[in-house]
Amino acid sequence: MNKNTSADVVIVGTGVVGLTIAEQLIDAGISVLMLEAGPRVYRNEIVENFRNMPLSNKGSANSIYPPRDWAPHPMPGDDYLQLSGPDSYDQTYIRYAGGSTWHWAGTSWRLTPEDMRLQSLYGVGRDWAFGYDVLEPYYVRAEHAIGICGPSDPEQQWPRLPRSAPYPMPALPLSPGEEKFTEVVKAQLGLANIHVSQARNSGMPYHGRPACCANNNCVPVCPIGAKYDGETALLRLERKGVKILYDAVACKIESGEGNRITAVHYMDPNKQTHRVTGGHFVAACNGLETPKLLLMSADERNPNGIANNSSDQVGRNMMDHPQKGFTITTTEPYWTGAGPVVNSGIMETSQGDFRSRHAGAYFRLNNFGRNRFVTFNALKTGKVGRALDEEIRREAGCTTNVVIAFETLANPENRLTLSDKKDWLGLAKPAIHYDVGDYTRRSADEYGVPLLHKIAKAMGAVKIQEPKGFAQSKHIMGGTIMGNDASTSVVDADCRSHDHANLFIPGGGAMASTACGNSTITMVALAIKAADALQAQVRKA
Amino acid sequence: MSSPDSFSRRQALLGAAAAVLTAYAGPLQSSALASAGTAASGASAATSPFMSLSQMLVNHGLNAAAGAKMEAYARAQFADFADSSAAILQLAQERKATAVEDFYDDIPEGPQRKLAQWIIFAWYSGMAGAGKNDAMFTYEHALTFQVTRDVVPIPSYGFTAPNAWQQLDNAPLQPIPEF
Repeated sequence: MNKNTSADVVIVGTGVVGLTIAEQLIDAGISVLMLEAGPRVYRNEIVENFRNMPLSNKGSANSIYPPRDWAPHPMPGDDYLQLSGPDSYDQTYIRYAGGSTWHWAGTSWRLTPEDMRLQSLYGVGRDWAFGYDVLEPYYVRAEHAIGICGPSDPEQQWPRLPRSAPYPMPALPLSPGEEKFTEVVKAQLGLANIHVSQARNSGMPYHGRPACCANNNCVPVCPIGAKYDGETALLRLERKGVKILYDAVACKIESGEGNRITAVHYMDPNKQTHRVTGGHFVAACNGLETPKLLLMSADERNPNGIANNSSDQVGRNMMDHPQKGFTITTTEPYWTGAGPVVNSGIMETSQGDFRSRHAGAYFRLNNFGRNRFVTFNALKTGKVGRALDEEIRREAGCTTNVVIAFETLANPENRLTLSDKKDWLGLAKPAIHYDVGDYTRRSADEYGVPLLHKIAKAMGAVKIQEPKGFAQSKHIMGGTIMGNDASTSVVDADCRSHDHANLFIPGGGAMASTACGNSTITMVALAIKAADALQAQVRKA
Repeated sequence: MSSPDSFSRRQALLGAAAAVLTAYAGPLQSSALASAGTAASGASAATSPFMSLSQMLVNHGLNAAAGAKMEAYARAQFADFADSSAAILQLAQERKATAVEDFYDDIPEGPQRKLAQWIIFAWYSGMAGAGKNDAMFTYEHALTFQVTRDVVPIPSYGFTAPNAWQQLDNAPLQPIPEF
């Protein structure tokens, strides 16, 4: 078997899902071949891109990751994503080796049992194919696999339920502003601002990564690798002998006898097409790119696209955490910027019987240093000398960014299709129609924004700047949704395609509900669950 | 914070008189004249007219390498750079200025005021402008980060020990760090 063209398992995508599965399989002695659309890059290059980025652009999550011609990803102002509908599904992701782990914040909130039973408990959305009790051990494995730190105090944990094992590292300290925010919302509103569990090393090295040293640059890149990102995992996997083909853009999944998957075709930067074969396949190349690939792979057996015969749900149910970021000005400082960029949050507001009427909401004080956002405003005042110093210091200390992140419901009309517009290789661009929905809008109008104003008042706000509409959180979910019924879902409880016994599609696309917390830890838990099933299936074969 | 190529206010104020004489000249002549001037005044050989001008407009120690980039940019972009620089320095001298507040309001509107504003903008932001494609002179030495350096790290440089930030207090707005 030529390891460049065939393996027991072919994995498309080298983001956190693909890497997690690949490592488990290779450790079990199963051969793995990975395809990555984008380039292999190294941390020093990305960090220098950041440091040489104009100050006015340093708040951008993806500007330091210029896409290669053959592997486009959304960039500010471009039209790679063809967007339509009442709300803009304007996402950011990175098609580099390591995927979007390069610029994620590391935030790792678990789902709650209630989050997985929306239909049963509240009569909205979808239930998951299994309960929290099934997922909990996989959460623990995910926390250890990617190095998630978190509090040992049960009152500080999310959800406040017994855990089958502690976090591998203690929680990271809060910044001075976060400490003050925590005290204020507790004293005046009775709300608990708790430590984020996060994939970042706290006070110690872990998995070959150093301890966090408060570079406050998790987004767009951790300069030292204290946060989990694909680069450290790639180095480990390369040493273990996983074959990874970089700059290899998967363009077709091929089906064969019995509707089993037989091969993946990819294009190289010279626009030449190649074919790799395997016994089993994993499609894990991003919540938008995966359904795009499945739809592009339509053939005679699967006229609606791969994995889409039984349900017609591939590309539907696109979800995210629509968010509103408020700039709050106070007279006394809340210094943010020391420590990770997201380090605490109010999660209890995501739960309640109100979910039969409107979405839950999660509030967080972003912990980004503010200089990059306020310097130009301060300079516009025309002040000089000591007055200018005071203005910058006041704006950096006394303006904060408090974000509300909402849940959304699975809605088949929120749909990714193939645009007639083509990319550099001639492949279809993704087109997404999106509406956050009345459930989420009601939450903003009746619940989230009013509560935000109470929080701002408690902080001593003298000015509140409210955004129009919703921004996206870049938590792409739903496009290959999970369920027990093959007629209404794309994958089963192990993220196995209902239509193809040897094709697994794990990750955010499988999530049946979003809750309010960031999706990556659940994606990794699902990846590990899928890897267990895949491992057993390969052994049996 | 000081580094081998940093430029103190003391050096600048001592060299300011020489700089007035050299502001009209090109880089080579400036350097020669500045050296001559500093020999008499005791200021650093690193003194340049632009750094002296900058030092009058910004009340802090400045990085000479960043200043060289700014000067090259300013010479190319401000047609009246030499004349305006000399005039601003002359004004500062006349006011016996020791800080920008001593003379800034008297800088006349027009090319001189625009140049003065731009120099201050460049030192605090490290940029030629607020646009995403504007020239960048420095990130690490942009003065905005010095104003808050007691409580906020420069992003991507951080504080130096694991979890060390738990020692930080929610600092008051005053005093502002010396830099």
